[in-house]
Amino acid sequence: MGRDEDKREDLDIGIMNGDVASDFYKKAPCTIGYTYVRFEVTGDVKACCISKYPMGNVTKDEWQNIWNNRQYEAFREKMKSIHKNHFHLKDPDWGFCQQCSHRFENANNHALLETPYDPEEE
Amino acid sequence: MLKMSFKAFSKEPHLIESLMPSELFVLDLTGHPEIDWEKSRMRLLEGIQTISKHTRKFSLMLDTEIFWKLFSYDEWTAQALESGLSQVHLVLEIDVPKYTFEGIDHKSPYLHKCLYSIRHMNEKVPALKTLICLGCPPEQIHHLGPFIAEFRDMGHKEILLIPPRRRTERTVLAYRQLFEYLRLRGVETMWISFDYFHKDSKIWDMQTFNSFSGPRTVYLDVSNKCTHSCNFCGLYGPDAIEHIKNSNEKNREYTRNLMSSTLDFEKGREILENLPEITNFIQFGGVGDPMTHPHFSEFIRIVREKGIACEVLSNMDYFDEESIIELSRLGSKDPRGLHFIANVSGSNSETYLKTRPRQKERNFKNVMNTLFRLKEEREKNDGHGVYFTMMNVLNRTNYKDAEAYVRLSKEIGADHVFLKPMEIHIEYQKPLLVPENQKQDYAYHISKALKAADEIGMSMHDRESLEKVLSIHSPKESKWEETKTNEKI
Repeated sequence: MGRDEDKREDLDIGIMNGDVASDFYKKAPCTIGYTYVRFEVTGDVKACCISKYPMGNVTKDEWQNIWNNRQYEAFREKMKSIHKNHFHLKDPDWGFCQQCSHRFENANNHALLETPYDPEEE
Repeated sequence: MLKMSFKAFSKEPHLIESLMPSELFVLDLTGHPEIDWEKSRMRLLEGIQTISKHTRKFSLMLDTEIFWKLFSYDEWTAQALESGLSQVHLVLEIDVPKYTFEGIDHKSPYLHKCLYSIRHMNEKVPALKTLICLGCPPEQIHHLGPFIAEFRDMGHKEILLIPPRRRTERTVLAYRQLFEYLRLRGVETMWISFDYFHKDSKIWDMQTFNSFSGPRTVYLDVSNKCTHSCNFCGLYGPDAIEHIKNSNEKNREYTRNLMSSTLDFEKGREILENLPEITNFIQFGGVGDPMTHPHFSEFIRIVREKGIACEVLSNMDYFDEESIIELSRLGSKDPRGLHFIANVSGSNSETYLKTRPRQKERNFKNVMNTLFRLKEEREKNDGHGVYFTMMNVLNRTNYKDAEAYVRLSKEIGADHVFLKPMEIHIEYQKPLLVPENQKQDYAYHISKALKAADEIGMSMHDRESLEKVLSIHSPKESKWEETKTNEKI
């Protein structure tokens, strides 16, 4: 959409390391921004539990405004197309989102996304 | 939450007995063209009074015609409000007449008619909240934008979209464009989701990339405090504590503040009260143990009274007799109602203490007793109560205990067992990783645990991760070279 937020180089979503790697999660778009939110003790609102950057803080803004704000929208858009190998998500020491604890939820969302359409009416 | 048609409810009114006190119940009055609501309104009033005995939050789903037929009777209206009716789901099927298509502006005659209707309804019964349910023919989806923006300007906080009968690619794209339009219009303070009672609403919300629906799952950190010392914890583990002690004053101060923070109760309550109707799962966890929060039971009560499924991650060492009884009461016959993920890192006190060096045997005994009591309360109340999953983070210090752990979980009445291969977050946790020369032994113990689980019928959460560990670390004749290279990725 060409907004400045889309070009944020530091939209780093955090990393996880583990002994298990799943090919699906390496390339699948992440849809967690549509169905999940995490509130921290400080009031920070985060899109995912390992995300470093808060989308806002409930002590300063209405939480509904935070959910719909530009930063959050940019996150949702970006995560749809980003490859988990992308340098934004890859830390040289630790790897990428391969052991994300939301992979079940993400997998459920994928199943929904891939549900076939009804055929167009004749 | 539950929706029933009036006919179904009249036949089987007992189905609402399972509702929690503020769980949403919607009585659908639409779809009964044969019923004369003027004549049947007393029967309906009786129904409303029955419903109000089970939940404080219920709604009638109706259209403007049914609304006028019922609410023009002041006495009936007063009695309905007295029974606690506070909300109606107003179904508006927009069918913009063809002649307004050309040069349509958002103040079209049809929109005026709808807005007038709603305003008049709000004036007629101000105590009644109107939840708009918007539907329209598939080729008119793009007209919904201006309508929704107007409702937002009128102060409506939540609207539902009734999806078309067929979910074709074209209609899905049309809704995507609708949401784009709303984002450009800056509609921020409104929850918009597809009618959550519709069987395909989740598919619609996902395929249209509807961010306005709000989260279905909420994770709430309520407290960073914890008295345990699990070796795998990045904050309270002995390695972590050592690391912090040796760092500079600024870091130590930051960590001290972090460790003692709890969520302000009023703020937490505000968040929980302002969630969209669509939220059906709340997890309590965090950097610390959520049960250390002084108002923990209050939070659980708020969530459970709304009928939302609740999961709590805890070391289970903070229960007392009173909280066991109270939390069991707030539980459910459905194991997902109030479910604890019990972080117990050993099947016996020796292993337990190896993984949490600052704890004593009495901590282990207290946890076992709590789990036993929770199971007892459930059995006393016909399966209603707190259910739990036994979680064990496997690392170098406790992986040999895996099979015994699975067997203990079955005995203690756990619903599932979760053996979680440890994830390394921080540099100083690396010593806890299973070393190379023990990886086959690690795989061996995991396979024994999996076999035991199958043998005794114990449900394993996230079997896939364990099987992956096995496939990487168990040497298989022909696959040895392959697995070696895979590890490098």
